[in-house]
Amino acid sequence: MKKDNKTDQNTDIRTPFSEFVRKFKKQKTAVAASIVLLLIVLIAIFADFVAQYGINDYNYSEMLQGPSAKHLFGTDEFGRDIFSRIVYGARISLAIGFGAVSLAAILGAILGLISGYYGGIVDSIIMRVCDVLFAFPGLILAIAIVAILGPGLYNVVIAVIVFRTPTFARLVRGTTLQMKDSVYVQAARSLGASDARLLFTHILPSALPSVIVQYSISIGGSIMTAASLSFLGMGAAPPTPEWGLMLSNARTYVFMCWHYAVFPGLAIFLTVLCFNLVGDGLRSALDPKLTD
Amino acid sequence: MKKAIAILLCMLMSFAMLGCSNNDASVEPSAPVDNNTPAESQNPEQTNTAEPAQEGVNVAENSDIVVVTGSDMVTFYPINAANTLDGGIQKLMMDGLVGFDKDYKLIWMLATDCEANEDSTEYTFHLRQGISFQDGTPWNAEAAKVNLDIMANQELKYKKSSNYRMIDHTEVVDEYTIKVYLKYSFGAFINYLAHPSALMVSPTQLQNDPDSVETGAIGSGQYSLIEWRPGEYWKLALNREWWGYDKEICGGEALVANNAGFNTITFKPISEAATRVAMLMAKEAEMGGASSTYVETLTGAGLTVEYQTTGLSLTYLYMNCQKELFKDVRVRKAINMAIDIDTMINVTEGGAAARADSYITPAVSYYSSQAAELYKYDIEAAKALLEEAGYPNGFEVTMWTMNNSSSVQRGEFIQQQLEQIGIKVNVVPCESGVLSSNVSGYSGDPAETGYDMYLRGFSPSTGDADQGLARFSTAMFMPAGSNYCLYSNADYDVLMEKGVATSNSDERAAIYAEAQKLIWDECPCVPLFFTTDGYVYNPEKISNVCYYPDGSFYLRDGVYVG
Repeated sequence: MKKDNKTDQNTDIRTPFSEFVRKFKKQKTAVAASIVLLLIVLIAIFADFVAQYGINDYNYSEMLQGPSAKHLFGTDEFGRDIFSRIVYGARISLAIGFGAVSLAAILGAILGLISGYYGGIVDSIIMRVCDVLFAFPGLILAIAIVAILGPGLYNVVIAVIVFRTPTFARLVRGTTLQMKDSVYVQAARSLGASDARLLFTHILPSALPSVIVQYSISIGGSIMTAASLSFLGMGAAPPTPEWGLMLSNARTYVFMCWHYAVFPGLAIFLTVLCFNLVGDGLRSALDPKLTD
Repeated sequence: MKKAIAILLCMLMSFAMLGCSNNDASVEPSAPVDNNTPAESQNPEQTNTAEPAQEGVNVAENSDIVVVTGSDMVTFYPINAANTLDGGIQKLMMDGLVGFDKDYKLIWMLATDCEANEDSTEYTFHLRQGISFQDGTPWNAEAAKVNLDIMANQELKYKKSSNYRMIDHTEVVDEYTIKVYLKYSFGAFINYLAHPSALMVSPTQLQNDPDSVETGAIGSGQYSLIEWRPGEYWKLALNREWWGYDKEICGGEALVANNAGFNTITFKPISEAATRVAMLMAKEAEMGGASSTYVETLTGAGLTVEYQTTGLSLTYLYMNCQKELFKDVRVRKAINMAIDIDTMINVTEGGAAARADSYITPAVSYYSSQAAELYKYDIEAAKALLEEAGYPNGFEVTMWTMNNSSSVQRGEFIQQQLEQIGIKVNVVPCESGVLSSNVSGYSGDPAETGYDMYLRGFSPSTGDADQGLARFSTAMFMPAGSNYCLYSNADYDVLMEKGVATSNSDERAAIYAEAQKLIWDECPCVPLFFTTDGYVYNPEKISNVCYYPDGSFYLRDGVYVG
């Protein structure tokens, strides 16, 4: 084994990727967080096997019971199994997080590239719109959007996209401005590369590290936003097992049943924390200025 | 270090969500609350400095209390208020010709007596003398006429205008006598004048600045409004000049004891039940409503929890009978059969309610029980009915309800129950004021109503069967009435007209019994349960407070003991 390693080191060229993996592995908390996150994702995917009960399997004779072998996290006010609901709820939260932020990242990257590369009036319009959106605190903007569109999970996704996009646009625009006059881009241009080719194959990759870090951190924040909106009654409608909605229902029983509020709260806490820790780890691993 | 802070922040944010229940309905950022309410009570030196000169009114200057309510005020204009809470608050600020005591017995307020002709079509009221409104306008027959004419004018389409559709015209006989002519004989007229929608507003305000009545009516009552900040609080101050304290004006015995009342009462709308409970336990509020879920928690904290002896309120699930779906009585019956009301009472009401067996509660006059005809909980039969009606696979409907936790929970229960017969219910919770205006915003076109079902309680504050039953007649469509089912049946309409055309109680009883049977069979809604509202107060601070049977606050006799 030892020998193999040695030969690997000798023959391997240090690619940016291997460098990234090496740096990331050194971050113990980030690695641990990624493992927990992977677990959460697996639980969400295989929810049908993990959960013992359905999301709306009410049983009026088992209302508000504490944790037991039968109900791992206890039951809610309709006798539904809280553990199963949290497991299914992971699907919703992760889908919103990944879905909305992916769309925001794609949209933001395109806008940022256009804005940075072409400059002029296009740049002004895009950036002023972004400035307007930046002027509002995130959650307030999301609430305003949902208030206009009406409550519902799809509208929550739209709200998250709208308030996440400017961050990505600005990030990518910055890199584009830096790179568009660099020598290698000029070389590619002189070889006759089209604008699209220049933007997507030459400039965008330079922006990727910062986009990835932002992506990871944004997911955590977006899950929190979605949960907050549901908590306020502007997101998921009952009986959806959305974590924020569960927490909102639990408020009524907070004096009698600690478990009802604690477990959905913990689920949100753990997921958001892991995304943020992974984001931190990615930042350290991808930032060339930070040395080990 | 950074990570430690990140973890801490994350934890705080996650759990802070539990605490931020206060504002769960308000969308706009609001100005910081100025907490000047308890400031006066922080000064113990001021105790017992009430001026004895004031007609013997002996209410301490520092007797400021806070009352928490489940929803905000919608309007202070009596004739335009559809919510029970609004009516109860208005009764503190304004008086009517007649009123109710806490047991819902009629008492004379701004009138001293009344003579009616034999047909019950002409009523002559003698008014109480020596009273003025809080703006100084004297109370006399002219003032009564201004108010009664507004109530009678059906073109104004206020939310309670239809209560007074029987008034034809009024006539000032002399300064303290007014005569009211009705279009047809109406036996329950005096009861209607005791309803909060018949409270008298200062004619000066009505004539000079009618818009300001909605945000702060001036009456002749025990309290006056100091400030209303929608979504935050409204604050009433004691009117030490109130005629109710004056033996001479009251004709021998004062209406209330000279120590009854509070210097100020601040009402805070908190839609979240757990937050209200937390405020009561922390002694931040002296009184509020209590759901049965919290009784043990509250009594454990040294608070007194009591229940109404008689209740007028009934929780209904209205079905919009103008929608194609609910035009079919089989569908309506299927829904009545698919909801297990007895279980619902245990799950959502903590057992503190009784299954409704009519469209009005036993405390309302001419109540007639339909216990023999109860719709039995029977999923198979309900499914069969739906199939017969042409919906073997069910359908999808929208249900509106209030956004407080107990309403949403009731909505979710009904959602679960109806799912069993294939009906998918989308529960849409909404803030009380917005909900009222959305529901009453019915434009006259049945297709425009936004809801298929509407879950809400109703209490006929007149205590008379007419108010509880006539609202299911065609004349009572929104916005003038509260026929939330938009139910229309010619036979029923005729019965409702007959019911008020006489003041003979035997005849009325027979008519209303027939009407209750008819509407029970037709079932335009699901009458769920009679609610006996619980209320909680801090016995170390206040006493002699309770609820009216309609579920609104009764604070007239309240005494500050703290």
